[in-house]
Amino acid sequence: MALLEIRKARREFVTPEGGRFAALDGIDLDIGAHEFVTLLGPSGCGKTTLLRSISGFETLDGGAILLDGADLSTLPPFRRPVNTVFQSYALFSHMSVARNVGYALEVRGEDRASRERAVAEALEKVGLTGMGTRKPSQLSGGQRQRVALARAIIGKPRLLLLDEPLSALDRNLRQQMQIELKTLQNTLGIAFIFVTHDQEEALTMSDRIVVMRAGLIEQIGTPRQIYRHPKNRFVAEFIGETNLFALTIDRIESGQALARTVEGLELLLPAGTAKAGDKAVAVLRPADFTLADQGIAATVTKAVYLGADLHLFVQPAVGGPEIRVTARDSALAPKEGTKVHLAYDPAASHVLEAA
Amino acid sequence: MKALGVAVALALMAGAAQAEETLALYNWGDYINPEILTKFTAETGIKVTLDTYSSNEEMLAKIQAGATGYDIVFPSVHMNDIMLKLGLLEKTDINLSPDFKNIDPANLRSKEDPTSSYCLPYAWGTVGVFYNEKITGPLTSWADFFAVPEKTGGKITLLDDMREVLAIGLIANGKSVNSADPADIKLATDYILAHKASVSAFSYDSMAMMTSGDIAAAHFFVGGNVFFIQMPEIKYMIPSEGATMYQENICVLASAPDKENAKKFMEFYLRPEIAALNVAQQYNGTANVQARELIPAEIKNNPNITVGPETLTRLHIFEDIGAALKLYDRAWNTIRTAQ
Amino acid sequence: MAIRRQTLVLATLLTPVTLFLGVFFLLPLLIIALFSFLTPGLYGGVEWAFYHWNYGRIFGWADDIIEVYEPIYLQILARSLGFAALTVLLCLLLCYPVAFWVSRLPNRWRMLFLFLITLPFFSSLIVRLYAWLLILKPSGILNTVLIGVGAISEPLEILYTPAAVVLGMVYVMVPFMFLPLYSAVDNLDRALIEASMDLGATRLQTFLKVVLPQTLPGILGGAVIVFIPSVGNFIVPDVLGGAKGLMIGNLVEQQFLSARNWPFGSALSMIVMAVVLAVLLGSTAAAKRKGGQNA
Repeated sequence: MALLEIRKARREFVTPEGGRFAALDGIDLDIGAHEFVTLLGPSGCGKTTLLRSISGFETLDGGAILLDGADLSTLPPFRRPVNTVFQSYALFSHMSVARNVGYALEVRGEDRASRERAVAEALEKVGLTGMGTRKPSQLSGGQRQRVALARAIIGKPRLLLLDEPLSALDRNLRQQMQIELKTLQNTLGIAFIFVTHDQEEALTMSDRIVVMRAGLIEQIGTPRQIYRHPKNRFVAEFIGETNLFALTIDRIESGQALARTVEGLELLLPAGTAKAGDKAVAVLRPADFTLADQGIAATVTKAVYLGADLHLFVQPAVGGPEIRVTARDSALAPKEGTKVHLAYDPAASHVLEAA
Repeated sequence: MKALGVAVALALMAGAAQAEETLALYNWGDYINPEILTKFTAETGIKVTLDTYSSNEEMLAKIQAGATGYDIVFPSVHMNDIMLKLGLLEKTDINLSPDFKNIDPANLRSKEDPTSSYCLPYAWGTVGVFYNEKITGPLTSWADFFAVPEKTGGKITLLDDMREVLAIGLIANGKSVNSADPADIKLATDYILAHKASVSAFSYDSMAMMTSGDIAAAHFFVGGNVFFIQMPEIKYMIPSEGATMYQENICVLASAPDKENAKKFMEFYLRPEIAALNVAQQYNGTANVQARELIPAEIKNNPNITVGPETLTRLHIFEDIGAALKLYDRAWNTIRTAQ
Repeated sequence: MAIRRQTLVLATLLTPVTLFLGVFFLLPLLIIALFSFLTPGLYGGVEWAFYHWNYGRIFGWADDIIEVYEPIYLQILARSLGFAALTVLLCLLLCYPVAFWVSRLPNRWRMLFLFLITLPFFSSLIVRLYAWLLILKPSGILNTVLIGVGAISEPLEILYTPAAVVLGMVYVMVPFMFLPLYSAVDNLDRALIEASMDLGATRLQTFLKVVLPQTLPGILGGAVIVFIPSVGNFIVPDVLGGAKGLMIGNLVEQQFLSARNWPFGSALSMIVMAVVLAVLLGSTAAAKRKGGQNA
């Protein structure tokens, strides 16, 4: 049995114009006891509402959320064995770091000695040993983040909810924290539900990613599944950079399908169940293409230097949308206006289930 | 600093005076018929400004503290004496004016200025008891007045004035309202304290509450009659034990910037028709004998307002009591603090 | 060179303020302090001779000949402080929940409410107190309505009681309590409340451990702003209390405006000032202690 079961969760809000808008439009989701699950989607997709429904700050209009098979809906937030790391950290500015971290134990009535032990331990886990006497205002953004984390795990929750906790940090710190969070989750052996709109964060840390849009789940899968095999155009475009080709299947040949765009660009795809005359949308990531001696004839319209890599915008000779290509930078790298040929491995291409 | 301020103020006043003749009155609130001022300005072209105060001491404190720019003040007789002693008043020789013959000699009450060479009697009146006869039945004495709450359930109020309240206690004990004897003041204090529980409030706001029927009887100035023209059930009486009377005089300040205009105003007020105009609106008494013939019949013939000679013998007027004021202050604090 | 120039600019900018405070604030204060040690003039004003009995009358070293010691003055002060403290407490109890309610209103309604609460400032205090007189008197609106709906059969005796004084004081002071309190409540990060409940604190624990300390600066600010004028208020006790319970403000007023004893009035004022200053310093210290945790 899953640790957390979400069944047909619905939550509606009234818009200022008086209309109704479903922030959660029937969500079904199971989360395992040791899983790191990321809720990913653009703002307004319902991911934060879902998180707040689990922590108890939103009440569902329909459906249920079960923890260990028990319905949470009647429990107020302070009775749920779930803790949250807030986006703004929400540290208590009038308390020391140690009192912030020990807050869950303080309100539970634990004695001072055991509290102090637990606080020291929690601070050590997040690398803030000896910082207990400081005030939150005396800490850097990254340190505050760690205090919020220590405060949320000290009560040994079954499930830790993280609401875009890294969004306020700079890029380097964010990448470091991503690794630390994953490590911490392994050490604690509890489930993490992480909300973000940053696909890179999602890909780095998650066991599974839940892509949401407009109150619905678009796709659930491992980072690789989501990246390589997006179910639809929304997921494909939301996760990483993508080239999408709208095609008509021309013919099937030895397990491969030859397909053509309106402009006449020809592509080879895995045949799957497609038949000649079918419409299909194919996904090819920029890194799937290589510059070669032959293949799709095209002209480089723009080259963006990215350090080790070069990002090329390439116009196929037959016309149609530009193709984005990632190439290794070198002395021989093409410049704008260079005529090139693009090659790719047909096995790397992926056909969307739904356009 | 202060001298400079005065100099600047005087310079400004002088400048203004050249441009336009002015007169600055400093009077009790609602204590002059505005029509008099309009008429005075219409006749002389002198522009009149009016500031108000609510007690003699407030006026004295302001003048002592250096308030300048006022020409005329309206102190009660005992304050007139104090201000004379302090050298705050200007000699006007108003008693040499031809119309001064209109003034009743009985109203020349100042001890320091018995011939009125400084100030001119302005108005006088009594401080008695208003009562709503429908609630209280007829009242004739202070004893009746203080018994109202217990007998009828009606409320009574006294004036929020130290000397007026203590005067009731002194009168009730047959003592002078100007007594400086601590034993007398103790008697007066005890008398008021004995009745404090019956008193709803010490207040100047009692007339509106009389009109609405919320108060059955109130210690107030005779001028209160103006509110009850349409309410015959509200009566006014001078208690049989005695009561106080008051008189204010028109005085010119030694610091007055427009002394000539001030004298013009005093002479204007000596005219019987002007003094009568004030009575018609103020419902009090005038020192102008000719004016007494000109006042409206409903005031002239109202025994509540126009008191006869018999009643006059029961009326007492405040005098300056010098350092004994401290005894009254302490008695008043005791009265107001007692539960 | 640059530093000297800066100093010069700063001095130039601060001069008008310093002069203003010096002339209109410090100077009157010094005059009152000086007067409180001078001999009262027979007809008001002062005589320029040292006189310590103004304080002796109050604190108990008067000689019983020239001046008489009476404990009444300290009793009046204590009574005034008590009324002021009660006013603060009632204003706080009244405003605190309302501040939370208002801070949750939609923007438009919130603006309307804040405008309404400042509305009394647009009319004179005396006029507003007389309006209360009309409401509270036996034949007033309150009693008419209560009798009309059958809640009572006899008019309530509120006017000219201590209850009316407290009611009037609370009415006058509520806006002064509400505004700083509202500001503190509105600035309170709602995420802190959620964080506290998320960590297992009940609503009461959250209130005591998070909401109260976080809004404490607003509470203290409001309390001080309400307390200080409440101690010296003499208009409300006069109009609504029927002048029957003497407050320290009445006593001071009376010394200047009817007893003609400026030095004694000054001495009383100095004592009131000292008490208020002590309260102010005490609450600043309290705020600093809490604020130290806030910093």
